[in-house]
Amino acid sequence: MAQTPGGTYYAASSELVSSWPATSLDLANQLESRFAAKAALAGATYTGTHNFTGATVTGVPQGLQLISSQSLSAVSTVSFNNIYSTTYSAYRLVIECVATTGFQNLQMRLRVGGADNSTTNYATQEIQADGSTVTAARPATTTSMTLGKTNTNGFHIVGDLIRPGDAEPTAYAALGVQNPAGLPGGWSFWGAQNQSTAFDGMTVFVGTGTITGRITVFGYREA
Amino acid sequence: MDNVLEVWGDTGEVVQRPFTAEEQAQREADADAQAKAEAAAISKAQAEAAARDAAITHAKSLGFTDEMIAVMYPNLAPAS
Repeated sequence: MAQTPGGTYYAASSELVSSWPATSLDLANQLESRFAAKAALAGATYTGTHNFTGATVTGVPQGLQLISSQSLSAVSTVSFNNIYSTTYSAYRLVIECVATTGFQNLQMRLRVGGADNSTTNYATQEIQADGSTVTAARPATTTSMTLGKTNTNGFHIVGDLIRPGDAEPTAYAALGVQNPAGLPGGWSFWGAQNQSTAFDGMTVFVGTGTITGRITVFGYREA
Repeated sequence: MDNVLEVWGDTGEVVQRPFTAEEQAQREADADAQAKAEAAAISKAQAEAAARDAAITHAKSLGFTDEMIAVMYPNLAPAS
């Protein structure tokens, strides 16, 4: 038997193979199998259901990253703090709501440090379609920008904000539909806040009545 | 009424509260600006409608029919 520097006896590989050939072969096969399994993890395809509840998943590549999702119940103003940063260049905004007062503007102000920016540095370009009637407008030097129109039968908006968290002008582009259960009306709204300010949040509001539903914000994860 | 919902995306904290005095003042300013914008839009639309009606009346005084006006000026629809 061989001996470690500390004096412990052990079987050298030649003794192991000669004295216990079946055991040594089994041991070698197990090592080979485990090395092969580890190598197969790179580029593996997973199937079935995987429960990540409570897990911290790192190294996930491109895609939408949930920032905040908030249900609303009869509020006229909702402010989100600490949702925008330099981590992401672009953010997706999803609004699914119903309003107590229809056909009014759903407005947004950007904010930083818990305070709304109410300067006259906002502008909106809008196109609205209702049946065969199409209207357009571009209100400028306003104190907020328009995200869409409310409806008492529901209104849904999907929009992107570009660079709200950078010290650059912020752009916004959205599509919306109202009254999805009946004859839908649609619109496109493009907005801008032209100051080179890094914002960390936004306030969404209606001037009259309240809204109920959900607002969700995602970040576009690039790497 | 607690009509303001404030959400912190980093901590998940949510607070529902009434408007502050500053927020209430901003809402009143927003309402005034909105009312002025709507009044201006209505005034502009009324002026455009009056101009369309005057153009149609003038064209008819020259002998043009509604059909002829519609062909020559497809965007010149009567205001009402």
